[in-house]
Amino acid sequence: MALLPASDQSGDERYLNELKSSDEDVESLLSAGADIDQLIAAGILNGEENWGWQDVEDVPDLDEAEAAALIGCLAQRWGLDLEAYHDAPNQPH
Amino acid sequence: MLQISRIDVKTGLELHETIRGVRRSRFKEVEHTYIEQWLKAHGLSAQFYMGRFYDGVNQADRLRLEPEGKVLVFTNGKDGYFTDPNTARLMTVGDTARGIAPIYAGDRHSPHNFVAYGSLIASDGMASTSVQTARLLVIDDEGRSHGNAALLDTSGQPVPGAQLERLYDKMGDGTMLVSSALMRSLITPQEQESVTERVFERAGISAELAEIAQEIPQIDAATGAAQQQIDALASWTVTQFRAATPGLPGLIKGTMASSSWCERLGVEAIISSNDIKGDDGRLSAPGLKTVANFWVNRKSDGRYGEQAVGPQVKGCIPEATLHEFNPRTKAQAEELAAIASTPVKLSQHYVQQKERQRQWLGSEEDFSQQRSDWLYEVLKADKYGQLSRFSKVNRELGRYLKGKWLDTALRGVNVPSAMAQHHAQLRPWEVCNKALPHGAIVAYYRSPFPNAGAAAIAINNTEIIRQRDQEAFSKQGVAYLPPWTAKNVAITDFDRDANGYFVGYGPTVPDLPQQIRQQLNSVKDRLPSEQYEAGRSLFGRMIQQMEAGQESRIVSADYPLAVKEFVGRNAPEQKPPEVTKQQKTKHPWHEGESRSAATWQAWQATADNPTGKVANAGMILQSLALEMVYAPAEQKEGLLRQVSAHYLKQLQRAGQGKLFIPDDNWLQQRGFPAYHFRERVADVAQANLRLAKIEDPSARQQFVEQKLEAASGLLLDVVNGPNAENLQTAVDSAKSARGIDASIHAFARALSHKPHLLRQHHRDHGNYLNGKTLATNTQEPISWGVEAVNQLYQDVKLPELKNEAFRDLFPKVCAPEQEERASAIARTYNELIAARQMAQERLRENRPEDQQPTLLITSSNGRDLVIQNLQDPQGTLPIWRASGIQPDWDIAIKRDTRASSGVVRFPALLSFTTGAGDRHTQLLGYVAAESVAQHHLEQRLQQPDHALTIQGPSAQIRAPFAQENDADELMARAASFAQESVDSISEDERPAYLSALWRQSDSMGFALKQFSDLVGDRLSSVPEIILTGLQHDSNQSGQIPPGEYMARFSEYSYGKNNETRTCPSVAIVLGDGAEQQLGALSARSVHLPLGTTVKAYIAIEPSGKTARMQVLDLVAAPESSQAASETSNLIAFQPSIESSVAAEGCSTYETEQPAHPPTTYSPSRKELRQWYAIALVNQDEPLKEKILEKGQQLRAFYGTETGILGATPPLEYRHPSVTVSEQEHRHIQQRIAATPMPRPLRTKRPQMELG
Repeated sequence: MALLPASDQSGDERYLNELKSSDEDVESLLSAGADIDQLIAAGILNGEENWGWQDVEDVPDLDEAEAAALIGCLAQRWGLDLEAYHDAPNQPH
Repeated sequence: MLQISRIDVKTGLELHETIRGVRRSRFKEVEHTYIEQWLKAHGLSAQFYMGRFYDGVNQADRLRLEPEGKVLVFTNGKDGYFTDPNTARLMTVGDTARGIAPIYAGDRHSPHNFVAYGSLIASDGMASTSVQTARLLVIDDEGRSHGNAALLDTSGQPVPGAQLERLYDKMGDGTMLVSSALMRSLITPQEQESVTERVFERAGISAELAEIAQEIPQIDAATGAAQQQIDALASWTVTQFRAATPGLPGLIKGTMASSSWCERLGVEAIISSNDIKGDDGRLSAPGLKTVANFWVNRKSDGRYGEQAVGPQVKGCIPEATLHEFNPRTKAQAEELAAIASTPVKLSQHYVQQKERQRQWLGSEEDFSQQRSDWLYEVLKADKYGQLSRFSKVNRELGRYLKGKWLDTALRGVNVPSAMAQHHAQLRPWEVCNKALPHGAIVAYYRSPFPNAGAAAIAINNTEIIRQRDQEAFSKQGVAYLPPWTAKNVAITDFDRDANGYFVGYGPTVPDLPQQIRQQLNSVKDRLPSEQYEAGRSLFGRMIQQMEAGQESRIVSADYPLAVKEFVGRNAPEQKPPEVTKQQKTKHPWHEGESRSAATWQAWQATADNPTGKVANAGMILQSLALEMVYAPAEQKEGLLRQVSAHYLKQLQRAGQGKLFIPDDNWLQQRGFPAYHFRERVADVAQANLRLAKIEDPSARQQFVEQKLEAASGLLLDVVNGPNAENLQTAVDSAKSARGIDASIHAFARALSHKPHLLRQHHRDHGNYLNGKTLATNTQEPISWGVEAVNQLYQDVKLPELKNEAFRDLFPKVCAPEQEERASAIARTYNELIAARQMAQERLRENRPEDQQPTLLITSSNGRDLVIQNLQDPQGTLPIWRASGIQPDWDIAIKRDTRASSGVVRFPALLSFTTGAGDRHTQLLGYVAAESVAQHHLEQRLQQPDHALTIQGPSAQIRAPFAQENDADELMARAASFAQESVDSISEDERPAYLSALWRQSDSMGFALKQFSDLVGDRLSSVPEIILTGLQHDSNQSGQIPPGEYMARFSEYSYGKNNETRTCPSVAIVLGDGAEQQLGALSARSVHLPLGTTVKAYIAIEPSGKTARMQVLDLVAAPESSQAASETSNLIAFQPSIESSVAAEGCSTYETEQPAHPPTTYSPSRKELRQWYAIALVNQDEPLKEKILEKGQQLRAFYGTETGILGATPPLEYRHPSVTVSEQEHRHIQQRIAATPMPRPLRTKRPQMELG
């Protein structure tokens, strides 16, 4: 892997540049010791994404009855026995 | 050397840079690549281009590029490589008539190979070699076979099968053995030169020709010794390589080492068939074969180093994170806080850290990896602290500090690492890492770390490899792994993988690995998985028994808790599902599809590697899961409410079909356990409803605990099961068309109930700047570690003096033309750095429009505006090659009153004449904010019916800003410019140029970086200092006569205009230690750090007002004062002055002097090295062995003292237990005294350093 000339860059920046200019694929860079965050910082990987809490920003709050109805309806649709599940001493997984 | 021009694939434009007003193409330079060899072997020359894949790039772009002579041939992740159609055809199909074989087999897998293994084609190295006619032996490493032909040794005798088994033991996925001659040919000229230079220096041979003439016998001996060292270097090096033969398709990748098996079998290389990629079956067929022009390059060598422990690993062992890692992190932060605000201490810390890094990297023995670090060079040379408080130094130290705070907070803990090598002589529960103690119980792993099951538990058995495979044992920088464990537990192969090692327990008996073998003798014929589990379980029992005082064969070492936790989490009842490498699906080439279309399609599928997203999902869920367990009791009910409410909303989404929650059938069809995800999500979602009905506080608490535990278990099952598998699929995405399971990824994302501040903001530029710390919002061990660092972080402003205080370090000794040229170089460099800075700041804004091409529209009256966010998803608009007048275009700009944001407020409509002659109008894009402001569009287009129309404009398509202004490339360009400019200055003129640059504030920084060797030389003495104000009452010493004095850099206060002013000064130190002020330091004199005590010659001028002071040497000050503490620290770590202070007992590593002359002597490591050089020259083998033994003893003691096992001691390190006799000591002293001090070597600044 070619290193860039030493100059105004700190050790970390230099390492990120080495990663960026490397001809290795992601798997090789990781298995050779780079961590995910370094590959993200070097622009090789994209770590940005929307997350679950953003997905539900527009989902309305339900009152108790609505919530119970929703869960009951889904349990029926999916064939789940929730009573048996949450009363089990050791939940199976 | 091959220059590959950079292009933007969407616009086809070559990317440019401007230096000194000259615009030139940007290119990437590669050397020692196979493409160079392939072209040369076939007598071809071709121009290559490379371009990045980004959002919006599509097959329409391929169709535009191909007629322009840019055909996509191979890809390397985001970058595609293009060349002319003829070269592309030869590379992909070959030409039988001309005897040209394609680079990869020209079959249906060709597009797959040119994408999956495209990176190998232009993979550069530090050296390469080619063997005209080479015999190769290919071994089926999985089947342990070499084909049907009998293998004969060089005397024509068949090699017995039992011995061949030993060869197979060495061959794994990624292994290649080569002849010594081939390995030697890959030693670079720089390495050879450095070895020779060092041997000559140690032998006391000067590089001056006149002196050489008097030392011919010594030279002969030293030359022989140097050659031996070069051979030794080739012999112990294990390096990553690429190899190929132009006569056959296929490329070979892996790690190689020399082996006497090659000489024995008369072959150049022995290759594992798994190393060979994309061949047509001929190259990878096991057996002997003779090939022409066998080419090999050397990329990077294995080394014993360190690996940071990242959040993926920490999250799997929270107890070790809390009790073992966080205290160390905190201690590091405390150390950082203690030195952060004192320039001298900070400088010392910097030098110490760099030296430690060098020790780990073994840079004394590794020439190819040495990197220029100007700050280290000048700080190490600055024994008087002359650059203390210099803004240019402070700035760099500040950057270092910021990085250090961040690194401490995010990682904090480093563990030893080594490059993995295959060895079948090891049992599944063993590993062989020479850098770690024999008999240590370790956990090793590689990145990325999917779950705790990927940590392999082992005992370090170095002795078995030393006994059974001396050749393997002699290799440096590597650790040998048993094949089953490497593949099935640690997910490690041998093509450059490095493992990190937690050393948990050390042995108290020397033969612990052998004892373990005996204890596990009963399982030796079982399946490897059973043997491994037997080992893990035995180690677990031993740890428990040790803790109970019933096992005395092991003691705690560096990370006992981490290893214990890994052992526990891998117990059969707790172990997460096994995540192995995923089955790869080749990228398709459909019937009727062109090769280039299929290659492009595969590139598109692999350009955006999802590893970062999947790993992020795993780390976030892991953190949230830990919080559910570790959060303080009083916060748990609130936490459950939040989680339950979030899951209820996700159930709503699932009910609406917006979220898929995997059911058990779906999971089991994919090989997962029946996780009951639906029941568990619903159960947690119901928790709020049920909680409302529980009134008893203790029942509530119990319920909350139970439900949080359930939610935590759910998250960890997602992380350790399906998400871990997705991660493994993601890391292999370049080689497989099988993408990650999007529904699992969506489900994992959906389970995060709140923003995770640490994961979202840990890369923010402002972290640990101006008082801003890393944000966290979870209550679990990793976040607590960060918060502990945050508590200790302080924003410091290092004290600074004006630049003029440093100017007289280099008096003006330059001619006007030198001054002019030096200024021009510095000015250009500063401009390039400023351009980079601007680009970097703009790119930090993450503007989407900067990632896409823009269109510059110029009206007939010469007014410009920029259209961005171009709306042409199919790539059919006639804009992508626009350059010049477009007579059939009309562009209309209006205000969109419904626009949601400013960036889409002024849409531009394009009307043009199609190829069929029709007029067509569609949305082109949006006017850029700068153009909106420049042309006052907000005012001019206030009414919806107002429009700005541009008819027949001139249009110029432009590459994305982010590509034209890649901050890293701009930095590299500035550095290259600086290097080329400075290299063009003759050796004789360098001092003059340094002087010219140093005299201007704007170019002092440039001088410091580019002339650090000369600056370092200058810092060995202090320029004459002028003291003023000696006529005032503040002069307590009076008109002292000229002579040598003990003087201290001090300060005094005086009143002026009702103000108290403090003035830097010099005081005379009296015999009783008291100070008497003498005079003030003139502004342009060097200001040594406050409290620095020196021996100096001082002479007061006849006027009696000023004095001239010449510093002669540093003096160790009394330890009681603050100043003394700074000075003594300086002394303690500055090796250049250790000799002067050793006599005063100030050296860190000096032992106390006995009252009577000793009968034995403890030599330092440096002395041993000098002695060894002499033994080397004299070819005194017994003496060499004896010295090596002493060296190993020193290393062992140093390792014990510092806790860094295997670390190289400092050169001045000695230990009272490592002694030589008086007679031997005298011998050393005489030989060393007879050896002239070597000239300090000027640091070379290579054109392009290779790693």
